Amino acid sequence: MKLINSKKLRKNYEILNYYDIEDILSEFDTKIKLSLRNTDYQEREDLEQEIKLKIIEKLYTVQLRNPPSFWSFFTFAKNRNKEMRNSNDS
Amino acid sequence: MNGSKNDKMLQFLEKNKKAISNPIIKSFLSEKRNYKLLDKTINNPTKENMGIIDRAFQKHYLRIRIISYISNLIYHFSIDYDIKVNRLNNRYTLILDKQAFDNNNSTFKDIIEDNPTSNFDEVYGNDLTEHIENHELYKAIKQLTEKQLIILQMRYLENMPLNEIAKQLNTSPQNISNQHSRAIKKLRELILGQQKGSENN
Repeated sequence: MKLINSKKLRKNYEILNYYDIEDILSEFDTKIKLSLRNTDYQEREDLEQEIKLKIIEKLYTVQLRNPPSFWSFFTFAKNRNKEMRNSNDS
Repeated sequence: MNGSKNDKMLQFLEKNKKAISNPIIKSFLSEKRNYKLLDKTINNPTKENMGIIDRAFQKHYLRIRIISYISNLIYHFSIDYDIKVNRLNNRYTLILDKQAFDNNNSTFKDIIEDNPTSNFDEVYGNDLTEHIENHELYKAIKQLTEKQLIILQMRYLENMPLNEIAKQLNTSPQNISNQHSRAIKKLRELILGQQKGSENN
């Protein structure tokens, strides 16, 4: 299949540590089943399918921003906590 | 030597308690491999070690982002889907499928009177011409005399034997048989004539 070879998908796969869409879907299965309660009983089967389709589609298309480096994130987390403490003090 | 190494790491953790309580960093360090990486980097802060921990962290960060992205997607999609389905259901209401009476499983469509029209006679009628689907045969049959049509009708539509027909029409069975075969012959000629006519055209 052509789509499977797409670079972006492979990247998203690797990040999730999976090499099969089925595995990714089964990982989210509990969450999907839970969300099915948001709709009527008759619609659940359809919804499940739609959600899975959407996930696959998004795995192909989603583009996440560049992640921060460890050290800059570390500093960010440190400072944010400081700020929060300061605002609590005042 | 080993003790001082651990001390350095512990000191670092103690000094940066707040940063380490950040959920992303916490989950990152909860993996033993990553914890060891950080330990190694703090005791030996070379550019290479820092790069390694950076890449591991970035992968971890993206992984969390994707997982939370998909989790949010699942949640919001299910809610949007429900709204969409409800809207459609309100627009195309299934009134007949609603419950008709309290404490009863019957729906409105159950109490509609059933008026069967599937009866053979009601659909087609008693007239032989109503039963003809072939256009040429229909045209030919229209040209038969009334008596011939009645005989064919009794013979083929009502499946009556010849003497029964003869009794009803007050003639002899031979006469009926003759008229019958004449009618069939006439039909045959008319149809053949029609086909020839259409071929010539």
